[in-house]
Amino acid sequence: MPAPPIPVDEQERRLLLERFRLTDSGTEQPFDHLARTASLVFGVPIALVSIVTADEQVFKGNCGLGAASTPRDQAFCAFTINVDRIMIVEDTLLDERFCDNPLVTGDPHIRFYAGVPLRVSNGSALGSLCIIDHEPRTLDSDQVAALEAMAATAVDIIQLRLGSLMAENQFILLQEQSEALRKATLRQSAVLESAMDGILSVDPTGLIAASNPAAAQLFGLEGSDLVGHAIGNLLKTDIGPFDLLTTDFVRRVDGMPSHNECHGLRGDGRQFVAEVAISSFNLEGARNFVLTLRDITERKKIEQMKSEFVATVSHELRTPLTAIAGSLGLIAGGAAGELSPKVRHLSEIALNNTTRLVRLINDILDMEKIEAGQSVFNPAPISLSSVIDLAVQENEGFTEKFEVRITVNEIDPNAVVMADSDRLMQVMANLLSNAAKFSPQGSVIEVSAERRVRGWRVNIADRGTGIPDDFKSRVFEKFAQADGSNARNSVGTGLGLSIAREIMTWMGGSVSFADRTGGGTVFSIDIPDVHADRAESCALICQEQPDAAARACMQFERAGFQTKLALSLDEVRALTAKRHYSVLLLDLSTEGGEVAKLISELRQRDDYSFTPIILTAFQSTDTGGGMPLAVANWLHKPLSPEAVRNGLKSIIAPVRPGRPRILHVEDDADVLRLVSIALDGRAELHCVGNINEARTELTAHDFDLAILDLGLPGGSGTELLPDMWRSDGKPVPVVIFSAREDDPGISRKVHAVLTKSRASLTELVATVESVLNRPDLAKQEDPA
Amino acid sequence: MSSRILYVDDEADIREIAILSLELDPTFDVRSCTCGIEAVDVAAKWDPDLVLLDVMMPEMDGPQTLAALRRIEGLDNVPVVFITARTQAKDVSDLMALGAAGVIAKPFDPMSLAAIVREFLP
Repeated sequence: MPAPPIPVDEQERRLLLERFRLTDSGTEQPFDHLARTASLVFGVPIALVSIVTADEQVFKGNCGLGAASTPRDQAFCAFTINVDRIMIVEDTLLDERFCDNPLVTGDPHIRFYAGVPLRVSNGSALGSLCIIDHEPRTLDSDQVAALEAMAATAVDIIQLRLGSLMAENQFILLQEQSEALRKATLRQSAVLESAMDGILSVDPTGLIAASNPAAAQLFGLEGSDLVGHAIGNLLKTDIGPFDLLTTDFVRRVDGMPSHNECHGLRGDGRQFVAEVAISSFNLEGARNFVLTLRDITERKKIEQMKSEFVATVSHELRTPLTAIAGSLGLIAGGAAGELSPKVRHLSEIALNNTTRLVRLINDILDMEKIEAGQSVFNPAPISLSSVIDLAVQENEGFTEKFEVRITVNEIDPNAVVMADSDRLMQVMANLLSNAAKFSPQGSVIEVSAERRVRGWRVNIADRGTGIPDDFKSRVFEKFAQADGSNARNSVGTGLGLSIAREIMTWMGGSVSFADRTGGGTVFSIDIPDVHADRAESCALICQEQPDAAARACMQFERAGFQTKLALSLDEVRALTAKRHYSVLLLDLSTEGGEVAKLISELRQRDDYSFTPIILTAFQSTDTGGGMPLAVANWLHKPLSPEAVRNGLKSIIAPVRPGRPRILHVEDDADVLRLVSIALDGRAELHCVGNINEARTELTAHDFDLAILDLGLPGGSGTELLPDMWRSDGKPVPVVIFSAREDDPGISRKVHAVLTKSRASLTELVATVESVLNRPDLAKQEDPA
Repeated sequence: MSSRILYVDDEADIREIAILSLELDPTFDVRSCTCGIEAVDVAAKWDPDLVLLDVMMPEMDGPQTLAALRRIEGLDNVPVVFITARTQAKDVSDLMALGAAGVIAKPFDPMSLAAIVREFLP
């Protein structure tokens, strides 16, 4: 008995069986009806709708056969699925394939068989519809057609079933999805419900749309729902109700959560200090906000207590120390009579250690103040050579004590730096005394100054033993001292360098060190330059509200400008006719059209064609009839100090003649090319792919702007920020254009941060133009 | 001609040391007071050439004493130098803003205190 052949599409066939759910044993009513009809129509004892599975045939419709299935290798239908239209075996005993088949020789004693394959729409035969007799028979063509029609009906039933099966599946899937959604929602709300922080979702109008129990608790409204409350009724800032829509907040929440401190108003009238993290999301095209709130009243109180404690303890310690140091000083100074050498020596030890204790207390207090941000720094233009001379002079005591000499190499008498002179002296004194302490007797400490792109660098070079390699990473740590066995160390407090670094950071500089060739160490202080011309810059301010004008004046003055107030646009006209002002701050909210007229008048004049003009308005859309105003910046009202400062930032780098020169640091060649195309020859682009090349470019040229990628081979673009200075002492405005946005603090250090995924090239170009503050570029952009 | 120096401090030990230190200069005639109220009283009668004032004192502190001294006829121009343990830049500038002639930090060097004070004498 030959085995039935396996169809070529067997694999696909089996997949279809699964899909149609036909592999289960057991008959189904529609197929049973078909089988019964066939049996009656053809007058045969057996009719079957069979499905050929992997190893058997199962009967979905069965009329007259006792079994529910038979093995595939015996199945007639396994042959049928290989034929095209119909397989007829008129007498099995005369057919070699079947004469010894157990189904022929035994029960059900098949003598006649006729089967039509059940082919579904893709052509695969899944089984057959067959009729069987115990006697040999023949079929005429009508009968064949009838059998084929019945088989077609069986196929229809199978395929229709798929439709309903799919609908059923869909339904189950939907059920599963909604169940999954229900679970996810449950999980999310469990997270929200149990969060320690208050979490609020706020809609664009400032109303709370969702909240968690912790939020209600924060505001002392336990159990009640915050939904529908106005956020401005629950939070206030130092200057008024908390308003998410003020430019300040909105600008800062763009892209990254911003942290703010404000006051929370509790239901019982009490207040708490709230730390608020704000992020935003888009819902139906409008900006919504998520606020995460934390009560930091306790933390603030503890910080405050710590500050006060340190201050009080320091003071309380100093009073007895004054008496001790005073007595010892008088004794050691011989004011209380002649001393024996032993007593003199002992009193000197006591005095030295008292002095050390005093220094330590001073340093701790200093550190605490600087860290708490309570130290006041008053940077002013000061002569570098005089500061150095004074510092060296004041440290003569030290140099005598350690028997070293300080030589100062010639320093440019015109070198002027921007620094708090007392604080700079403190840093210099620190480094000089350190150098003295670690220098061998009789050696020379060399002090020199060199011009850097960003300012001046003062080097203090000693011939000491140098800093051990394993200590280098900890040099600036508090209370870090390299070698405890060195007797000379007893003079230091271990806080000096750490204070020096804090001070320099506050002044926009830095402290660093390096091994000195030939032995010893060089400590370097980088001090920023003075923006010399700003002292003579005068800003002309015209604001509708007197308080806004006063605030703006203060901000401009802080930025180094002189200010002149004009009470009306006519006065602005009169004043600008008399002299040149370096920047104008005008108010658009009152006489919009008039302001536009005035600006176009000014732009006609040679001396005002490029002067930065900053406009203030309640809304930036308020452009007075869509006129193309060539302005440097827009500020929203009410004016916040930060907004004014940011407005000023854009004009600090003044216009240089010629095409603006832009440094583009980016390792992706495609982005470089796209930006270059977008700027379309309007700027001189210098493109580099890594930090080192960028540094070379920065030393070689003065740039009007730098576009920085953050993720660069060999480091982050932020490493370049300290190099962003021009030889004329002005900062290079920086626009970050990067896929990364992992450093939220970065936006404070640069002009703009654009995220590659968010910011289109058009936006980048617009930002670049606004940064460059070139009205001529803006005009080229706008053909009108 | 000797200079009359009035030293005001509520701490007896420090007062004693300060007087000893100031008297190292033989041209100094030093008197001391234990509080601001006494200082105003003494100054009005004694007419000092210079007043050294502690800042933190009970009842009437240094700045209040300074203000009171300034209201006394003939003392509106006397140099007043604060001597204090609070010598942060902010503290010093606050004191200077009150019209002090100078600020000396505690602990002071007793051997040079007199020389420093001499600098502030008219």
